[in-house]
Amino acid sequence: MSLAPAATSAERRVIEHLESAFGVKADALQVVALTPRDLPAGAAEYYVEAKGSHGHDNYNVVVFGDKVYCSRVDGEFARALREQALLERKDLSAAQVMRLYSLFALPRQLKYIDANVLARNAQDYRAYPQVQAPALTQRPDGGVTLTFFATPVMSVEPAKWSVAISRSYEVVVSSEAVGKR
Amino acid sequence: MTTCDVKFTGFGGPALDCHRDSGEVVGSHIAATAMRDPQAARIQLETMLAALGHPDNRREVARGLAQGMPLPALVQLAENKDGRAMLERALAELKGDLGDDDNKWAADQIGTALKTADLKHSDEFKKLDATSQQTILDRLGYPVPYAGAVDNLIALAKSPGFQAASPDTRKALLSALAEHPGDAIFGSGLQKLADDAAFKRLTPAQQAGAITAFKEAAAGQGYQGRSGSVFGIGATSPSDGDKRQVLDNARQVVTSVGFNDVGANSKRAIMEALNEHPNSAAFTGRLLKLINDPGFMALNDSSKEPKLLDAYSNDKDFAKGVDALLANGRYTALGGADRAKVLGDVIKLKGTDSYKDASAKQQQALVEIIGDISAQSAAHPANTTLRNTLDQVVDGKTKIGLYERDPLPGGFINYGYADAGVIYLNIEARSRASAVANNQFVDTLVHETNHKLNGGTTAGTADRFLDEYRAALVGTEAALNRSLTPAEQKAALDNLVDGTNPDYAHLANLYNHDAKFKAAVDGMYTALNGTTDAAGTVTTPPATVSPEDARQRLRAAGNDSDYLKKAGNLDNH
Repeated sequence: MSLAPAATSAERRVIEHLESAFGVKADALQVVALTPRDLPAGAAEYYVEAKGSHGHDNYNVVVFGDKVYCSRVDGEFARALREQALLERKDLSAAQVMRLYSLFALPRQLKYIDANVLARNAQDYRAYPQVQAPALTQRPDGGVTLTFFATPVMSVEPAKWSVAISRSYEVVVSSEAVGKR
Repeated sequence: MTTCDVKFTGFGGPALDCHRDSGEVVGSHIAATAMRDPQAARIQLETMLAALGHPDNRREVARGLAQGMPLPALVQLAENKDGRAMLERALAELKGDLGDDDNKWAADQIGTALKTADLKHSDEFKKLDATSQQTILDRLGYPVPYAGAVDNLIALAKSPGFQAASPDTRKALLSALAEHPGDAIFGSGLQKLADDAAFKRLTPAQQAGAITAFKEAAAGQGYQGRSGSVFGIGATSPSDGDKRQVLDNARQVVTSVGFNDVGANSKRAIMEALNEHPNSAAFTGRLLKLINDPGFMALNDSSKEPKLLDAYSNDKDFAKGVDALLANGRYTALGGADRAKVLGDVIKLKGTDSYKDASAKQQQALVEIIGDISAQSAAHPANTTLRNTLDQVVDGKTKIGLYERDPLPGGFINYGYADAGVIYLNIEARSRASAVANNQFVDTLVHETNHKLNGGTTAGTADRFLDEYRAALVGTEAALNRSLTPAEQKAALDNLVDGTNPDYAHLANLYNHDAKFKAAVDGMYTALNGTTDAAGTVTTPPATVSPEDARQRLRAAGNDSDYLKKAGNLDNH
């Protein structure tokens, strides 16, 4: 591994994780530390891409302490929730669960619709009054259900998604198309 | 001749004495009589044969008869009632021992004479032009004819196709048969060619060319077989069935519209292509589909046509790709001239490193994908970006690599990427199906080519933002074949900076934490959204923000770099 000396220990941990998980070379990667946005307290966020790939070969990485979670790995969303015991946190918000789901599980052809998007594109969604910002509801078993709407990147064709997370961190996902008013 | 005591001294001919002379001499004497007086000669022959007890002695006389007259005289004799009867009698004697070469030769002579006489009096022969009649008779009168050649020639002369042909075409058919005179399979094939409806529709010059090519197909190894190397290794000996198939395939090709549309070089290339798979009906069908395609016929290029045919016959992966292309709906929707452009592109593609370095499966896919994109380009000539992008590929300036990667968890499909100057497209089955359905290969190819031509940038910078905004617009417009609306451009902008696309989390981060960058992007949003007054009346309608406009806005807001100082490449030239 030949990471720049200025790399932080967290960045080194990210690199080591990607080397281990994907067999990539450290000197082929560019790591960008981001200001965590809509992530649970204590999380650090990184964007990593293979140099020369113009961003197409990229990884979204969230670090909690010594634990590294990465996109492009099956089951990473549930692993992050479980290992960080996020259901135990009283301050866990819909925006935070939404962001984690987006980074680790939502198909990349889709974008979720948050309050900002709805505000900026009110005209686009006038025909879809049922479209709301992501919401989190408690389940009887102590788990939560994340409900949100997502649409293809370049068009307005919203679908409703439900991500049911049981108390034991089992995740069940369903989605259905939304009709116009 | 001790058993023979017949003597003839009359009839004005030489005296016959079968006790004194050999049977052949007797026969030749009868022949001499026959040329003057067939009736007398017939009496002599029948009397002489009746007197000879041993069949060998009778055959000697019969041989003498054949040896004593040139073939034209025998034919003339066969046209006379008595002459014909004596020739038939002699032939019957000779057939008793055709194992003897002399008997065989004499039987062939007499048989030819009888058949020729029959032919001359047939309706079919009488309908022929004088030149053809004479040519046939000349050929039948060649020294030492043999039965197979005579039968072949007569069968051709009487066949419907030959009868219907022009004198020039008859001449060409007769010349072709003369090169394979005793080959019944070739003769039959030639008759089928002459009677083929497509052949009949050709001009006389085209018919002559078709006959020549057909004849050459029968001279090839597919028909003649090959002797092989030392010890006969690699030797082949085609069965009769194979030979018939070779000729059937050749007939279909040489009578096709496509074959007769091209010049001599291309005709030769077509036959060489066929000669690579001479007895394959399947290949012939595919070759016909190619050469009859309006695109092939519109190529009108004596260099490109042979190149395409050579590749088609010798590179099965290229051929499979071309077959798929010929069935592609976008291709078949084009007219001939536009199809020719597409074929021109795939011919050029074959010479690139993109093609040469690909695996067999990838080569086929590459022809299909680039062919499909080329068809879109031909259908939309105003789409300069797409044309330029294709030129980058088929001129070998941009290398394409293909790979297969399963959709990632969550269904994320990676359609392609760029790495070290090479643009890679994902041909994993599900990914490719999705790419085709959504025209993502065009978007990806144009998008990535635009990145390549505009140079590298660093994630999380204004440079990268401009690079992505420009590539997104250029790629999407090329795929849609139109300019984007302000709303569509806004969607592209949202995708980069609104934070909901993890691929661009670094740009959203920049937008949220870099005031200069945010100012420029907000200005773009203002233009794209337009403005309304407090009463909801539009004061400034939404307007597009071109990549160049975006670059100026970034610089005006204080973002600066060497990258931003340069005007970008917007059409992948």
